[in-house]
Amino acid sequence: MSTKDNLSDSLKKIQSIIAWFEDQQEVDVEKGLEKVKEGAALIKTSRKRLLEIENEFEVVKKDLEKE
Amino acid sequence: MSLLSDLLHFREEAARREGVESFKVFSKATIDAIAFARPKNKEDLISIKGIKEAKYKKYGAAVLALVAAHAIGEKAGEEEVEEEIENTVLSVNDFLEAINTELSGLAARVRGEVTDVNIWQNRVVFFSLKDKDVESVVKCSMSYQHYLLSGTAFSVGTEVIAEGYPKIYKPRGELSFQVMTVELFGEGALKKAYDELYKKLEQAGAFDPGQKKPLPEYPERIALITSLDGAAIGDFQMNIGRFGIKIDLYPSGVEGSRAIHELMAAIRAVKKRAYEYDVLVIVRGGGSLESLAAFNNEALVDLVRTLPLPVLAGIGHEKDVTLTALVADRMESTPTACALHLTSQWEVARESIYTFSEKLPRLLENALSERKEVLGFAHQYFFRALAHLKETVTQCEQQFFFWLQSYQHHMQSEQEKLQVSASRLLTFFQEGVGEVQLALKNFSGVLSQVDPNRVLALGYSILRRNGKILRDTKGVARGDILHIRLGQGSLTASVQDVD
Repeated sequence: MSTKDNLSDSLKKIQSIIAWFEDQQEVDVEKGLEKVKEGAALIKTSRKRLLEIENEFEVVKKDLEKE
Repeated sequence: MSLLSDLLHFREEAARREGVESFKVFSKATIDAIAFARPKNKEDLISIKGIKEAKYKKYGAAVLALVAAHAIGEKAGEEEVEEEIENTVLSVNDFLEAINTELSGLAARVRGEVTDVNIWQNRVVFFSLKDKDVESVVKCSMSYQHYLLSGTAFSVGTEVIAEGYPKIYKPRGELSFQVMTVELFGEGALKKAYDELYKKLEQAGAFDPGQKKPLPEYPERIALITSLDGAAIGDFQMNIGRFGIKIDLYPSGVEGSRAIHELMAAIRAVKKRAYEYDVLVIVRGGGSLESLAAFNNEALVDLVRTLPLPVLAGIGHEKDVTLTALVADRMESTPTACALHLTSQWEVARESIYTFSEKLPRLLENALSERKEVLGFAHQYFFRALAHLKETVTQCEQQFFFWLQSYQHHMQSEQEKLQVSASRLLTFFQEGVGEVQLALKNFSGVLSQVDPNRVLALGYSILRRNGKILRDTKGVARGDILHIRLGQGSLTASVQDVD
């Protein structure tokens, strides 16, 4: 559950960082650098989660009650 | 003893050994089926419902041996048995018991028309089934629970298929058909039941979009209910992509009379572990109203409605919308569509990340190059201003020195002027002094001329009377004292005579 939340949050944060850059008239270079660093870290972790990972498939055996 | 009783006995023993309920070894229906089919080999045995590889491994050999023993025994002991029957005397109860044991192996699906219905104390449903064509009737009984579970409300005249086994109700010595499940027979009846339940659910707000729970954006743990056979499972697996999702499959029949029981059991099992999953997916392929009947069962629909987990249904294809699909939180037309929907956000995320990772480094670059430009302008401006300042300072300097110089010139010329005036003044003064000296000299000559002492030196004298100088004899009398100043020295005389 935590991974799912983080992924969703991470993607939203990255989008907001990009939007921040696009909104700025004059970019505060120091702030910009900070944001790029943050964005890069978020992209790294998100990318990891989105790699091609095999699914885990399991058949749950359940004995049905019968009379 | 009959094969059936031997099998039942075997089952009891096995259950006791393993410390489990007997139905966990084999269900009653399976025992009946074995007794009926008399399998001779593994293939025969496995084809019986309720026996798969696992059960075969465990009990297969023993069961086949039992059956074989009976086959031999029967052949050999037929006469023996006949003799035995002739000699043995049974009580009525034992007799009926024995008959019931045999009858329990005759499970059947019977179609007939309901002729009377009696629900007794909400525990048992008694009804009769009549053959449509030939005059024959069988009395049926069914537990109320099973009746509800069947989701088939029937009344007099309804044509149904009842599945169960015959049994003699001992207190009355009457044959009764013990019914386990009932289904409606015929598309018409099914459609009618569907429409009625649809209306009921609609009125209860079961289809209200406000009731639907949102499916998670990035599902990671999925509970899946579908048949292990059939195309649905394959379609689903093929399209779910590879996102490291955990999928737990709860296998269940999806059609036939057992389906409703298996589906309910599967959903209940998922419900117990609901907190472990992000979503429940129920899929199966398309089919007729009859084959999809389980998914229009009221009990199943209610169970799905009240699940604390979001439910995604891909049951049937577009034209057969089951009520279960309608009350699910989301409905797709096929198992493939379900899989695709679940991973759509994952796909989008993957693409987005790719785009972001391309975009991000450029963002700062662009911002910096803009900054660079601005800085360039500022730089130029700054140096221009500096140069201008330098110029101004130089000008001031120059101005200052110019003034300084002109001041110096001015001072010099004034100095010269002053010197000229000074020398002129001196000359004038010197001339002046010369003149004065000359004048003084003249005066001194003049003075010496008029010096009384010179006159005195010539012999003249100054006479004074009473301090006053005498210029004439006026007022002078004889005997006046006169002071006489000579050129050298002075006398005092008195007057002798006046002329």
